Amino acid sequence: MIEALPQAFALLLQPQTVLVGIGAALFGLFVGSMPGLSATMAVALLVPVSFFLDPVTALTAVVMTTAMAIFAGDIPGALMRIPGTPASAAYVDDAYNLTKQGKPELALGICLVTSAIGGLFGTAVLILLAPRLAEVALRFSGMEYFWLVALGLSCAVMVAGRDPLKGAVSLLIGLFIATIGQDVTSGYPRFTMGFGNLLSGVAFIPAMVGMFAIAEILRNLPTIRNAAEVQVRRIGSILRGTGSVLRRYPVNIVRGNTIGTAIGILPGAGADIAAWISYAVGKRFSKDPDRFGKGSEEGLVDAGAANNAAIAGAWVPALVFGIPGDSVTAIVIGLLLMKGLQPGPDIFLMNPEQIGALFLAFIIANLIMIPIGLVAIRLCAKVLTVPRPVLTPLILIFCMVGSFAIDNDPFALVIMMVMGILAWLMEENGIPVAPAILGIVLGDQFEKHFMTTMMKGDGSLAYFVSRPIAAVLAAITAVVWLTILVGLVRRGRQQEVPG
Amino acid sequence: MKLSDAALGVVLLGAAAAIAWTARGFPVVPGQAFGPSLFPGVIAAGLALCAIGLFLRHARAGRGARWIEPGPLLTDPRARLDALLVLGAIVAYLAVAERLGFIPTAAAILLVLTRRFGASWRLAIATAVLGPLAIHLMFAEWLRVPLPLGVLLHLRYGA
Repeated sequence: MIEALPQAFALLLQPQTVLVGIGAALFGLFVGSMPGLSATMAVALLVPVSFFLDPVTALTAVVMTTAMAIFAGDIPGALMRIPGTPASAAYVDDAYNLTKQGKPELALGICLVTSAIGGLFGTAVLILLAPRLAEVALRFSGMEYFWLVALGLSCAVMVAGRDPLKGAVSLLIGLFIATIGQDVTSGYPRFTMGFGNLLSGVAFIPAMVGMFAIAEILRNLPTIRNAAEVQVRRIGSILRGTGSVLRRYPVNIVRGNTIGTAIGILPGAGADIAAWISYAVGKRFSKDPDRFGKGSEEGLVDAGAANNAAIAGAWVPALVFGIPGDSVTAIVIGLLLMKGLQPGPDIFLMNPEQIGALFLAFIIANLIMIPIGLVAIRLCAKVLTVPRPVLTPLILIFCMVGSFAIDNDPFALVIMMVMGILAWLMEENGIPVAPAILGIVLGDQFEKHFMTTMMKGDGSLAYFVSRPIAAVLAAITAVVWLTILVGLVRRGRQQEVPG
Repeated sequence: MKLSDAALGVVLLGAAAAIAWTARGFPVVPGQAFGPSLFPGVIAAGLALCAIGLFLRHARAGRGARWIEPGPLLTDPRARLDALLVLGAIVAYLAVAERLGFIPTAAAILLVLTRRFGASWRLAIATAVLGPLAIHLMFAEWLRVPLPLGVLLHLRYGA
């Protein structure tokens, strides 16, 4: 890894990469700070563009965009009480109440610095953990991969959203979408309804653009004419006072970082869930839990330290096993596959300079976040007044061009529209989208490992647990499903109690 | 549009039946006990289980719930037309972009939608003129992705 460092630097410092990186950072800041536009949507919009860039440039763009977008989500949260991305929702009341108390600088300063610290912590874990895990993963066969994917998909059901039953529905929808097209073992066309365009499966980029961007446009339509009111006050020195707050809560920072990274690594859950959990844990252990939700600096530190840490954590399983840790890395895996890079333990041996460049991009993104963020906070009042009546149609046009451009296939627009409506319907019904994305991305692999193991074992299910690592992974998967079932039964009982 | 637990269960059960029924027609790989229909069959079974879970939930707590709650996008006439226009824009792009070219098609869509969403004429026209040019520059010139030129073909390459 170390010997690839000079090459990694050279890759990262190409003029095109630097320019795209800066552009992506600004794009991330913009999308993140626009209420209603999430970091995942930013990446989905970025994918059609990055498809035409070389892999390192494309990955740098994704890293820059997500890191900036998750921080920028805090800005409208603090100034308007509208979280810019779902990852800022957990502590929006605290940030906004601090602003009302005349301390917007403190709120945003805490968010900015904890974001950068969290991002660096997650990156450190990524750099140290991923190559070690890859060495272990090199010994895995199809059977272990089957269980690994099964475990990943099961975790996604467990952690995505409050209702695991609907999480399971989402996962099955995703797996079904992945079966459309030629079957992985025999090549027989399945569920194509006679469309030749579906033979190679549901095209990935139009599907992602549809599920994240089109669905979000539809969801925001009923409120599109409501102009958001920005509480623009004069913003003073942002970092003054931040240092002393952070020094007061070192334990919270480390705990938030750790929780965030761990949740990020867990498949299916990303920055938003990391922030909620870290905030809840922080409240439970706080000496002053009553202030949480009313402008607690401590709560801001807890959650702010977690969400950016989750972003880097999510890349650990994505790179090592090809199992995405969150929706963003699910899109990244699709992107890598299209670029001819197979995520998995081999990637560390075959493409060390590209992985090195990715790690460096993470470090740089979190370092430049502070100066760029300081400027962004000052510009935010302008950004937030970009009218949504203009922005929404522009995003729509961009989605169409992007989906269409990949294969120059008009059918891509059909896929984009159908998937957009599907994702909108799912969210309306409380069915989380993240497990479906994981199902779409991992479905082919899951079925392939399942079928090859079935064939090797001659249809015997006992063969699936005939190697020790596979048996352990199977046991963990079983525990996850038991937890889900127990939770469902308990939830059912609670509903029975009247009132 | 929000379905009640029971209604969602019915939809999922229907989907499971459709998947299982279609998968029954898939060929068997010679010499194997299972083929392309196995995995879809597992998915269908999973969906059916989820449907049963939803029915149980309905039996416990869902009585009296409305089957379908249409929600603002379908009930509010203004939002409904907005949604139709957004989806209509995609269909329109599909239908005419190749012949008319990207820039005129996108300009027309932007003008209609920005006005519809309440932007002033000045803002709408500025968006319709500058937006397509910027996107065209980005994709066609910088990323070298061909966008349909349509009626502007002659303008660029002569008659």
